Amino acid sequence: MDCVRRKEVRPFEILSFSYDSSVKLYDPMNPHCIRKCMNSYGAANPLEVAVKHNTGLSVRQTAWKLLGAGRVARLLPTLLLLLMTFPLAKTACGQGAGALLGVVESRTEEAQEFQNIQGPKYQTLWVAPDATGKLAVLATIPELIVPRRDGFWHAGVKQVCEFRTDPLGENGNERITQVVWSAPIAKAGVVPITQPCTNHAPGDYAPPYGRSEADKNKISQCGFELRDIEFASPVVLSIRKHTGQSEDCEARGGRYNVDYSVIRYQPNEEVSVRQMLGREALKAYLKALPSHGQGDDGEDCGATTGADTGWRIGRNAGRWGVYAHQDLGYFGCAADALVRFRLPSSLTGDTSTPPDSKQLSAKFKGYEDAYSSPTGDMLMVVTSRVQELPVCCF
Amino acid sequence: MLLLTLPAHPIVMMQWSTGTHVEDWTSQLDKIAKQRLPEAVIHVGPASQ
Repeated sequence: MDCVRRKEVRPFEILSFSYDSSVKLYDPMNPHCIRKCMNSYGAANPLEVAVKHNTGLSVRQTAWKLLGAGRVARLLPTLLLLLMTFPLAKTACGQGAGALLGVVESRTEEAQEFQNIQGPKYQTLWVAPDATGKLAVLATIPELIVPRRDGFWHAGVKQVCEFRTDPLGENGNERITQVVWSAPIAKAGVVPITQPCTNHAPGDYAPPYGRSEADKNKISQCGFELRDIEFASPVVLSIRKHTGQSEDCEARGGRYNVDYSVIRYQPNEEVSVRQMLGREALKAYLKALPSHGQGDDGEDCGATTGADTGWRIGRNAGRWGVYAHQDLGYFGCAADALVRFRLPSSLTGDTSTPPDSKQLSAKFKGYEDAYSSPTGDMLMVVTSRVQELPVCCF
Repeated sequence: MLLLTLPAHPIVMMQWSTGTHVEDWTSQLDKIAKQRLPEAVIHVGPASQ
């Protein structure tokens, strides 16, 4: 990749550079070029991508290159982004808007050992012009902060351990449950549980099957219910729920379920498509829903039903969209399909026009998604193929 | 020169602010970032989900 190539990527000129092991991720062909870029712009961080504001265009346009949504993010959790405009810029970009960005710092993870199950973590970034007019991350908050009609709220997922006695009352079981909570910013979220676990010595536990006489009254640790927030707006949260068993309680594998729901804030009640979006949305939901679900290997695994409580909100073509989802059993058996229904901005909180994905795909290799500000002066581009980013020197 | 650093993680929320609200949000979010937010608490009772 040489400097001539940069002309091909107008109006967004991309500079990416890094050092040490990440160099090969960006441009294994030309590490010298990367070092030169770093020197030119005084970059100090090993994982940086610069997007240059093109001053020759009529509109203020800036692209932010968000790297690693997905695979690369897992490999490089501290990956940073660097956005640059040049001194010749007629106006500083992004002066008309600020972006409140909620991101997943780490997803929930199941584990064979109960003690190793981890809940998800979120982070909110406030990106806006600073006192000098330069775009910057002005606040980083280690929670999801959602702007709602009555002010800012915070939301998250708390992991709890619930104890239940079996119907015979001889022994009991501990179960890990992750609960979504939300509350006004000054208040604590409340996580209701029926009976919390209490402290026990390691010798008080035993797997539920094949017990000896000595172990028959011991406590088992079976079952977990893990949750991730996949979408947050001022009105709803879209939740993914993964239900499964630890190795001691289900050694055969594959006995897990994944389901989705959309919940309101306080109380965190699930809402169906019809309740939230009306009759037309329900029609579109049922039309989009496949007649049968598929398992992990693509096999037909059962018929779907008319229930509209299983749904999720995810990205499609530069917008937040509705997906029908029905969990139909173990081994990933489910039906999932995009619903042709436009989510209202009153639900998403997004009044912007989706960016032109064709144009952006042509300009950004590995283009996956983009977010545009309502005023159209800021654009965030998400890519996955970081290793193929064009690298230019000046 | 305008510099910006962002962590690279999957996005679950994008809410924009424009005009005079930008300054207002900056002020409010700055305060939120500087305080310790109350942690979620467990309430023993019927579960809601």
